[in-house]
Amino acid sequence: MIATLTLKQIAAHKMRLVATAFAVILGVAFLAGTLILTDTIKGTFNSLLAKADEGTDAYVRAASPLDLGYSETGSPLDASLISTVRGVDGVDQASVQVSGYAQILDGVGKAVGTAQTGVLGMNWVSVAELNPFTIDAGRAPLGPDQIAIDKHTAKLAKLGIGDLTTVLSRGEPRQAMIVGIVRFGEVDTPGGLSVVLFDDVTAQAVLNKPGQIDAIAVTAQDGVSSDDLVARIAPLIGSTNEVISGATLTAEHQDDIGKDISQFGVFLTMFALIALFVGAFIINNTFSIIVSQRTKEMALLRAVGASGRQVRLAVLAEAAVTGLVASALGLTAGVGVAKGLRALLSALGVDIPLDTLRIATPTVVGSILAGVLITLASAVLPARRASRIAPISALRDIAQDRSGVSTRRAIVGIVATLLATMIMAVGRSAAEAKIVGLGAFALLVAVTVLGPLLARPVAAVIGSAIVRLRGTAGVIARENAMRNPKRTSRTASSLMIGVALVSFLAIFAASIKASGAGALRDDFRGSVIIDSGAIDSSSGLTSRVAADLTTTPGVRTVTEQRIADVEIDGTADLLNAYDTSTIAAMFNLGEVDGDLSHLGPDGIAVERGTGPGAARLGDTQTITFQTGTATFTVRAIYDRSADTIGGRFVDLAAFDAHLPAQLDSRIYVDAADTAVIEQAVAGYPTAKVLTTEGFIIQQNGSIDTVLTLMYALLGLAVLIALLGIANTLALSIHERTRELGLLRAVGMSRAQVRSSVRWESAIIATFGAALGLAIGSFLAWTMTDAIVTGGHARFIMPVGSLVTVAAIAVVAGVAAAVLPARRAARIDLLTAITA
Amino acid sequence: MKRIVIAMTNATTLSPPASSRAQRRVVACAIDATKTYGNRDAAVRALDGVTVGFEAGRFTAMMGASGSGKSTLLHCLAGLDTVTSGSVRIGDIDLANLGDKELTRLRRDRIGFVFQSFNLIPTLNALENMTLPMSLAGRTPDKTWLDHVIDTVGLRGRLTHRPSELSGGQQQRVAVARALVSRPEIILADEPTGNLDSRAGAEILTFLRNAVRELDQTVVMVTHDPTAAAYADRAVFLSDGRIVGDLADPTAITVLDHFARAGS
Repeated sequence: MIATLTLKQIAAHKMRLVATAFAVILGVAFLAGTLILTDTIKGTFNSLLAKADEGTDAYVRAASPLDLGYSETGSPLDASLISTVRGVDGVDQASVQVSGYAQILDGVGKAVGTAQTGVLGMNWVSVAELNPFTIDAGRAPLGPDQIAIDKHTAKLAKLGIGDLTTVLSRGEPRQAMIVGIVRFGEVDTPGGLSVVLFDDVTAQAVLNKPGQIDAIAVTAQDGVSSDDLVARIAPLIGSTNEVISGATLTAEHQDDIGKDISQFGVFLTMFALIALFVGAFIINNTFSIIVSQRTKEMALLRAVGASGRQVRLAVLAEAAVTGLVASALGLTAGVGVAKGLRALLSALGVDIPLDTLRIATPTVVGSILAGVLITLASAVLPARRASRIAPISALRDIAQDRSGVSTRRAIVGIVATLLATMIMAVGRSAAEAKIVGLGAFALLVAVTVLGPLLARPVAAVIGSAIVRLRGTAGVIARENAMRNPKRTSRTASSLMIGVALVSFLAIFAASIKASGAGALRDDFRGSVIIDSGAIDSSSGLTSRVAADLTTTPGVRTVTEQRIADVEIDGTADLLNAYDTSTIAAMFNLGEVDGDLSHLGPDGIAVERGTGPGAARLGDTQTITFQTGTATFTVRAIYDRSADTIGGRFVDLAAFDAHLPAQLDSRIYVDAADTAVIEQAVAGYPTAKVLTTEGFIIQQNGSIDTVLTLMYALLGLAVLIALLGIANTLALSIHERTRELGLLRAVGMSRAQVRSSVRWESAIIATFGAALGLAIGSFLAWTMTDAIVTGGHARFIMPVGSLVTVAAIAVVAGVAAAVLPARRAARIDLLTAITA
Repeated sequence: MKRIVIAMTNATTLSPPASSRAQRRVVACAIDATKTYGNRDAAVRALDGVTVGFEAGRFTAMMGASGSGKSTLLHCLAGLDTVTSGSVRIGDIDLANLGDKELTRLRRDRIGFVFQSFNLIPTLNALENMTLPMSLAGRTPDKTWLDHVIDTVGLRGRLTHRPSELSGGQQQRVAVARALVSRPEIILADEPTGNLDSRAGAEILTFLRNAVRELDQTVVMVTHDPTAAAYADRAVFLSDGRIVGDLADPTAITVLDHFARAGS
């Protein structure tokens, strides 16, 4: 019986559920799209990698204490190890593997590929079974002056067989002829990577040192299993090296790429969850309104004998059916979202291979479950309210709902707000971004609880401005925005979340930019920064650049910087290395305890910390490199510049001792004349000479790119919020049909009706935007202080951006009211007043 | 034959009854008005050639059983509904020629309304409801006149109350006040006492009569209650969409008499 009733209700009031369904569809579509996209990318890479490693039965390399990323290697091996491996019984073929930094220049002297897309130099493996690449045109490189490049890079560089090009590597730039164009299995190149291939000997010379290789790939003779082969090789290669099976290698490779993709997936999923969270408000609002509109009907059901439980179940069943249908539609739409996201990322410069979309079972189950559960959870309170409707209500007129304004709500709301602010303050002083974030979430919830109390007074204030502007239509708008504080507040809450996040990002980004820029301006004493664009020192600038600069007349000081991913006392971190003889001249380090210029091969300099855990001179820190673990002693403590040069560094020589074949990420130069610097690096196209201000602009540019992406992703949450406003208005207007009829009868023009609905929406949107701005600003303030240390934190309110955000929110709120307003203006007068 | 009957009816309704003092200006009229609902097969004739005029400064009751067309006629006079053929005029304006904007302005500036129920905007207080049509027009009501109206309906102490804080009778008094404040050419009332007890009803009817007698307003009221009709100067009877009678200075007895004759 309840089931029949539920289905009939849905059929009879389809329109009322459209917005709810849309909120769920959008949220689920984004969630499903994200999952489909990451599954697909993972799948694409997995099959690529599996194919690439297909022929490898065993793989010999140096053991590494770190979990190495794709194409990363530990200590180099001696090339002679290959004869040992070849001599093992059961080995069919073996080939050396050498990889390192190399990239080519295109016809106009511009470097092809970046550290972000990936640049890699490798040897051409002559054993076809062990070579993931296949010749597409031309032939394999042979001799020091020949290279092969992947087809993707060839297209980018507009170069072909027989063309001469310059190859950048650890040493001097060198001329080479392109003799081959290769492909990686079925694709031109894996994931946008730019590959340069040399013969074995050249690869060793260019990428490593002669006689040093990174690994040996082995195939087994027929009848010898991969595991047998591994067992036979293992005892012969020495204790510092290891041998793994081809399957293990593939799994490792897949895992490395998979981790990167998952991280990216988690980033996107976060925005999908925000969208669903915003959607929850709309669903809750819709069901609350539906329940209040159906009070008489439900009371009648109760009067004729339905139990409270049955009424509650009817509402929940309606939510479940709506959630299920909408989630299914959302899942379907997710396929389109996956394609759209890929296009968005491509537009932002992240190219992702994507063949057929993979829709995995967990995606289907997870998305549907998320959609249904969020719908049900949002409908629980309205359903409970429905079950409490007294049968007598069937006989009474519905009183105005003022239930939002209870003392209990005020107390709970204020206490929760105070608690949330306190959590954020604690996070701020403890410099813990996670605690600040947790507090911010609590604050959003607390303000939502307080919302109904704020809605009336705030709407009254905003409304009086509109009354002055729009007269009676304004009065109607204001009174309508005030008449149901809960509804107004719930509607505004969804927009509040979007605006809070957007304004937080705007302020936070501006503050981070200003903090970074301020720190650099204050503490950088040199004249230019030469930036390679590299993210770590596995690519970057050859040390020849710094060497050339040192001998250039007019250059006073040169400081090289190298960066590596390491573990420090077991925690993943970045380690910087500088010329410790010049670092203090190049940067204002403030007061320095100890001796910077004598860090030595096992000394480390750290930023002065506060509190009991702060490092002191003589403390030791264990640093795990790809090649092994070493203990470093704190020999210097500095006060300033940590925001620019990092919280700890070692000397370049100490760094190179653990990580050979590294390149400079940046070079800081102090010179009388920057023109001589430009000249000196002219032969190195990846060396970008930037003044302090130029460097700041570049840094800001990369922050802005991320910001744009995040704005775009938050756009979805804002869109859902606007949908919620439109829906609430539509439902309210339906409820006010008679009233609108009366207004029209006594002389309100259609334009005035439209105006009043639009301004009501403007009031709700302004309310939401104002709360959002307040929360966003507070969050940005606490977050900036939590993240930027060393006294460089600058809190910047980008007034222009914030005004734009608020204006867009309000204008969009008005735009959301266009359709409901038109509907309100077009109600049939006679039906309305005779109803 | 039918044509002659209509002509005769017209003659009787258009010429004022003998008891009328002087020739008065016709404020609103319907001429040969018909109103058909639905399509040809299932057509319902709500108005079937109605010709009637309402003179300035008079209180007219429109009577008839439900379905007689009295409410339809009122709605057409108010510009809330349109006639299928014939014409409806307020003053010298033919409503058929007006678009939505002009009709809205006409209702706002020249017509006052009192409905049976749901007369007031729940979010506005009594005073705001009274002055609503004028505020919508962007005009401020004449202070002296407003005070006069407020005192007439006796709501001085209730001006800041919301409709939910007023009794049914008080709500209808606010509605009457609203109709009076803008000094419309005609006040149209649709069973204004239908939802009230007899004492509150009598009060409203008295106000309407006083509006005509003392404030020189013109009121047309739809009712099926002979007692209510007795407050009017004239009673017009409708049946099956036609005018079937016109009575000057009706009393409850003459009205009942009329119904009795019509019924036999």
